[in-house]
This record gives sequence, structure tokens and C-alpha cells, in this order.
Amino acid sequence: MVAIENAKKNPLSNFTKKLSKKKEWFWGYLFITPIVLGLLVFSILPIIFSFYMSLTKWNSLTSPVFIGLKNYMDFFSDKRSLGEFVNTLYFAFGTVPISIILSILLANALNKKMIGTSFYRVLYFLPNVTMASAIALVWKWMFNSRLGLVNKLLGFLHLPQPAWLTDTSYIMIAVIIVSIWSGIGYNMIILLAGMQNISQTLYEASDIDGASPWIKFSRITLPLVTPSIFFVLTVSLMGAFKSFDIIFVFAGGGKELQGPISEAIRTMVVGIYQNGFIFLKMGYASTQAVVLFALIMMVTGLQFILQKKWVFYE
Amino acid sequence: MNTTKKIDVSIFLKQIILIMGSVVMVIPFLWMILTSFKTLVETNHIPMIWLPSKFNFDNYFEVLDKLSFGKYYLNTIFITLSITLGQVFICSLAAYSFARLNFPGRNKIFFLLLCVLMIPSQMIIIPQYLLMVGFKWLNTYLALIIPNLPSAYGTFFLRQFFLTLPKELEDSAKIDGCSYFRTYWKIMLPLCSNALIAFTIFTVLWAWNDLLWPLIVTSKDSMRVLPVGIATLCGQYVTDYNLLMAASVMAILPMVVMYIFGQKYFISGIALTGIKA
Repeated sequence: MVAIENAKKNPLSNFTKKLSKKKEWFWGYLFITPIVLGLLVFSILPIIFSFYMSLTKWNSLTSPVFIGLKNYMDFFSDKRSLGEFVNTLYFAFGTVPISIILSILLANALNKKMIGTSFYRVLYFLPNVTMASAIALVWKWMFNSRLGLVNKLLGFLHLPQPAWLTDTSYIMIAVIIVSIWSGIGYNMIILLAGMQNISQTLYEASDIDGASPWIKFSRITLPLVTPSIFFVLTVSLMGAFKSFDIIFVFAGGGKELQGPISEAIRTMVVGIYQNGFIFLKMGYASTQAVVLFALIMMVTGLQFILQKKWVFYE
Repeated sequence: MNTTKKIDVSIFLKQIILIMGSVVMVIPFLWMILTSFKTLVETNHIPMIWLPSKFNFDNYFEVLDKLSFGKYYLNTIFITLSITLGQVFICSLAAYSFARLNFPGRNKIFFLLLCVLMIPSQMIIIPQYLLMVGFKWLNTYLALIIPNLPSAYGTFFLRQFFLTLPKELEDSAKIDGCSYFRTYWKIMLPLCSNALIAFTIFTVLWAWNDLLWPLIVTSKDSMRVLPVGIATLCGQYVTDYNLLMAASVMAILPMVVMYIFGQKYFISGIALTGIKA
């Protein structure tokens, strides 16, 4: 206040005020310089360059040759990349719905005061802090057809014991099981937080009306938790489209990404890695990256359009 | 009477489901630990041997000695610390500036940052790799650390948090002649310690567990980190699962210990940030 009054009185302090404004600008710019420079160099330039590279043929040793949309045409006629595209969709739509349904049920079971809730919460979230390549490794060991725990259990239950890791029609199912197992805790925590925000008075009112637990779940909990479901769905689908670690280890890890087994589970990100860094087809790999980006944008955009139909905001 | 009985039944059913789920969650970890103590003969024995005959750490020493796992460990610790300290500092400093200081073009620059949020990191690994080639950073710590320092999400999230703080504190600091950096360091940072802790935890987790980027920018064994070590070991030691499991236990242990001691920060942190670890 004093400063403003002074500024009115004499022009000299007006000058110092201007100076202090310039000072604020200076520090403001200085503080954002690292992040702006960093993002410019490591994110914005690369994304622009990605689009350009997707229009070239480039093995990273010679200089890039501009070939227009040829890579894109190749993408849609190449069995390999189409297979990776289909695998990505198979993986995403095999993992996400089951994972979300299970985590809704878990969150609902935990949304009540009873013995052990915090213990369960901590336990179910544990895979989320665990290195994905280690998770993949132990599950690969458990899916081992002769020595693995999974088939031991199936044999005990007199169920068929498939050769999970060497049968091309089962390996993707194995990968999906691992992904559901490792992602369920995260979804559960978000959904549980959403459920705990629902006002208790609604449940009390329904108690008076004598509503059954199922009615309470389907008429109160489920509709009111849809914003959280929407969030979890969006994040999980994006994550599934970009998945790499578990599939990389299941496909052999290291150099061995060839053969029918790898083909049965290789997703687009694994394909980008393989084309770009093993086959050194950098231009083509960039095309795959752009297609993946477009796919993620489309699916996410579609979700935002469709949410009006089913997400319930209070 | 009737209703209480019903509730008991539903709680009983829920407990059974939750306990069965817990068993499914625990078994892989348990199996990992048990296998890591077995000898190769015990590991590949048919019928299955459940418990190792004795708990000795031979596999662990073998992994550390023969497979240069100790080096992977040190590398991982070093880059995790560097990324975390650097990222938290850079992002919080920028977040403070975006939230609290006025300068021309601020909102436009911030909008640009939001656009970066939309880019999946997997999409730009090829040009990023080429940058590393251009900088001659392949197989150096620089490649493992520097590109991971700027985080658009971290800046966005911390800015939202800074916006909620009262303005009066800064004004009084200004009158006292406190510099902008001091205001940020001494006043603003301590006020958002919850958000900072959450962000730090997830940065540590992410840096420790990231596989794809280190896989691409390192080829020398001496520059490898744990996730890459684990993923490539499984290609080399296809059948020695006792060794692979010992390596896995060592690789996940620090994060699991951190999680067990700081669980409440993890759980509330996700609700706060929505970060997918």
C-alpha cells in the first residue's frame, strides 16, 4: 500500500516499480528456462522430426531419402506391422475391460469398514511398485509348461494344462493375465477414492427404503463412480496401447524377437523398437510411431465424446 | 435380526473373495523368493520341490559376482537419484514461476507445455535416440539422465498445487526484500511438501523401473541398469531360473521396502496425482 501511494507522489518510485516488474519478468523467465529448453529439445523437436522421418527411408547411416507416403502404404499392406497393430488391439481390449470390472468389484468390497481393508489395499497395489521386467520374468517362470506353478495348479484341479509359452494361441492370454494382475491395484485405488466421495446420506436413505446390497451397488455406487471409471478407462487404454516391458520379456528379451511366439504377442511399441533399433529402419519405425499416436488420439477422443452418454457428473 | 445376518454373510463373502485375491497377489512374490534360494537341481526338479533344502545366498552372490549385477545396481541408484533430484527441482521451480510470477507470454508457454503432455514418450524415442547420437551421449550417464529431467506432467501437477496457496505469504516476503528464489525455496516449497513427496515418490519409482529408454541408449554392459539387466539376462540364462529370481528379488527389493515404509504416501499420492507408476 505504502509503495503505491509513494508511486503516485513521485515519479522516481514509479520508476523503481517498473524496475521491479522487469525484475519479476526476468526471474519468471529464468525459472522456466530449464523446463522450456528441455521440453523443446527432448519433446517438441523430436515430435516434429518424427512426422518428417515417417515420410523418409532411412537406415540411420546414410542420409534420409524423402519417399512421401510410401511408408504409410507399406504399413497397411505389411503383414508384420498389421499383425502388431492387431496384437495391440487384442492386448488392450483383452486387458482393460476385465481389469476394470475386477477392480470395481474389489473396490466395492473394500469400500466398507471391516478387518484388513488397509492390508488388502497395500497388497493389491504391490505389483505397481515392482519392476515390470521382474514381474514378467517370475510369471514366465510360473507359466513354464513343465515346471510352472500355473500348470501344477491346473493339473490339481484336473483342468487342461496348455503350453502357455510355446503355443501361439495361449501366449497372449498369458501376457494379458500378467497385465491384469499387475494393473489391478492402481485402478482399485482410484475407484475406491471415487467411491469414498459418495455421500453417505444416499446409502442411509436407501437403507430406510430397504434396498438390497445389489440395488445399492447398481443404483448408487456404480452411477456415481462413473467419473472415476472414465478416468481409469482412459489411462488404462493409453497405457495398454503403449505397453512394452512385459511383452518384451515374454517375447524373449534381448535380441530374440523373431519367430512365431514373438509374432503372436509383439505389439506396436515392440515393433517400433525392433524396426528402429534392430533392423535400423528408422523411417518406417517412425511411421509406426505416428500411426500409434493417431490410434491413441482417436481412441481417447472417442472416449471423451462417448463419455456424455454414460458418465454421470453430479 | 434378519438384516444383520444378511450383512454378516455379505462381509463373509467379501472377505473370502479378498483373501483369495490376496493369495493370487502374493504367490508370484513368494515363488520368486523361494526359487531364488533353490539350487539349479531343485529348481528344475520334477515333481516340484516347494521349499529349498536350505536358505543360503549362493545364487545372490553368483548374480552379483558373475553377472556384474553390482554395477547395474550402482548405475540404477545413481541415475534414479539424479533424475529425481533434477526433475523435482526443475519442475517445481517452473511450476512456481507459472503459478506465481507474472511475465508476458506466460499462459501461451504454459499451453505449449500442456500440448507436450499429450505426446506418448514411446512415440519420440527414435528422434530422441538420434539426438543422443548427435550429442555423442550414447553409453553415458548423460543420456540416461538429462532427457528424463524435464517433465511436463510434473510441472503441470505442481503448478496446480502452487495455485491453491494463499498469496499473502509471498507479499510479506516481498516487502521483507526476499528474493524470488528465496521465496520459492524457503516459503513455497515447504508449503507443498505433500505434493512434493507424492511427486518425488513417483519419480523415484519411474526412474528405477524404466526399461525402454535405457535399453535403447546403452549397449555397454558397464552402463546397464537393473531393468535392462533383468530383461536381457532372461535371454541368456533361459533355464537358470534360480539365478534369474535372485536377480529379480534384488532388483525389486529397494522399491518394495520403500513402499512398505511409505505406503500411506503412495496410496494418497495416487489419489492426489493420478500418476500411473
